[in-house]
Amino acid sequence: MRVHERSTHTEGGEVRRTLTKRPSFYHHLHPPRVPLREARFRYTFGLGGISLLMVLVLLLTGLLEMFYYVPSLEEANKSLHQITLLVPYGSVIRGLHYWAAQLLVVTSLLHLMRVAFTGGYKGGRRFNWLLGLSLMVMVLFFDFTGYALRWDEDIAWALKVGTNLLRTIPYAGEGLYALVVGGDEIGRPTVVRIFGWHVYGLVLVAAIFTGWHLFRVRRDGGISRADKKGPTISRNELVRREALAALMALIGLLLLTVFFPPSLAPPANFDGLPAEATAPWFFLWIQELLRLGPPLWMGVIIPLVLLVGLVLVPYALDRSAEGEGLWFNRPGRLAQIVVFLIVAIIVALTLVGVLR
Amino acid sequence: MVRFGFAIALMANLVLAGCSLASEETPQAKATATSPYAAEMMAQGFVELVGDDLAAPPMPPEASQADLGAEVYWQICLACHGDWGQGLTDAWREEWDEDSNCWQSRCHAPNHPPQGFQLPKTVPAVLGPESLNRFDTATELQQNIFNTMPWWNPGSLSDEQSWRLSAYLMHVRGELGDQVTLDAGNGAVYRLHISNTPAPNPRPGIFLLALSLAVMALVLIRWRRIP
Repeated sequence: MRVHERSTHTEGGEVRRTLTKRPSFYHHLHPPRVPLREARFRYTFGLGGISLLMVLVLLLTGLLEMFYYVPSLEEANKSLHQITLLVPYGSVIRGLHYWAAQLLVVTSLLHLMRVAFTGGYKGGRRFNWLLGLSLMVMVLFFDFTGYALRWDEDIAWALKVGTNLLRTIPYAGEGLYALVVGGDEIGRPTVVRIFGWHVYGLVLVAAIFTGWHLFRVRRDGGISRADKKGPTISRNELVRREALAALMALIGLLLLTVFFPPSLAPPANFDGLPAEATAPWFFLWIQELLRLGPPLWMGVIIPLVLLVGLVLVPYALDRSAEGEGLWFNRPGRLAQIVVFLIVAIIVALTLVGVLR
Repeated sequence: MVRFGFAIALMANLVLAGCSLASEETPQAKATATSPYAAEMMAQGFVELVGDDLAAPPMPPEASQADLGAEVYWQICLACHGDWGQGLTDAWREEWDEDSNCWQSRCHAPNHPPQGFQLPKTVPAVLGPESLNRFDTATELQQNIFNTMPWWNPGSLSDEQSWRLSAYLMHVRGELGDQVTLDAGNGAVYRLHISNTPAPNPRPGIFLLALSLAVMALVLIRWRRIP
């Protein structure tokens, strides 16, 4: 820390000059004091911080993968094999990227639930709830495009079904399909389009939204709290706890990478698709929905309705300011039930898909 | 057809074995790298694939794909492609003694008997300079072997036998480590004409990194107990 002079006005109107320590950049990301109760692990479970850590891991490992990944029809899958088999520590970089992406879906969903159940969306934090939801949707798009970039036989069905869903949207469907696929059918431009979205388009939007989300947390007064005058801890202590959570998460990530490496499969062949359609696990719930009815309703409208249900949480389901920072607070009961039901539907359908 | 091909290969091997027994000088000459023949072959980039006695290659208890490929080569490819992978050269044909001219003896001429087959005048080398130049990847090599080999009975090799042969050839050519198992998934990755050095096992480094992180975490925990 650097020492600098600080001027304060006393009650008598005198100017008092004192020497204080200037926080570093990292310390400056946090407020000087943090409420003790809400800084406990059992309040936040470190989910927002771990999600951010996963994003940083994804950025770094994704950048390294880009040195070897070739986004072309012939080379995409081949380069993935080269990264895994020939590049020193390439399998680790790919494994970390894969597992960080999977964990990000879980941690960001749990973070969303924590915020919903502790009333963290109330009052001035409403808008940040929307930013968080947008990021959650982006995580799913990131995971889907990343999954497609493997360009192996496992992704063929998911990519075909996923892009065909766009076609079911009235009026805009064909245009959206052409925008994503780059033609009338999946082919040479598709892998370049998906790569473009994965590493440029989505990254640009997600970077802005992530920065905005973090800025709003600080701007809205730091972590949501029940007692504004309760005991606090210093930001040094908070940083220590964050570092500890990050270290534990990284160890877990490394062990997952070593013991459960992502699979490798032969290149995708869209002319000879397997009989059974398979979606990636984070979209299994949509796959199960698609079995129940027409694609437009099950694959587009119902997921959008669920999203709108989450959007309405701070704007229609719970507009009260009371209960902020309290687990399962009474004023937010309706919102909590709606969030629980939405998550329960998604998890139940996913489990059905896994067990099928 | 497979049996027929195998029978021919076996007969060819017996003939070769007979040739080598009949002529004591040539095997002796090839036995060491210092012999003029071996030295010349090695200088040209060939590798002795089969010993002087033309015996089956030794098979380790946990044979790799390349080890298994050596057996297929010995059974099926050796007669035409040579014990040094040199192809059907004059020197290699001399091993066949009185049948050294494959075409004159009618076994492999256009007017071959029913149990014979016609051989082209040139059987390419699988080792040495310029060899296998038209193939870029292991998959291309495997597909060619699978579809066109052996010459007398194309398509008789199984998919796995073709992969074993590809792994073996790339291994002896110094392009592939013997711990690599080729298949349809990774065959396009491994390229001929370059050394495909497999990535080292990352586990020791990762465990060390995880251990370092755990030590750092312990230091942080000890620094001040978390409420």
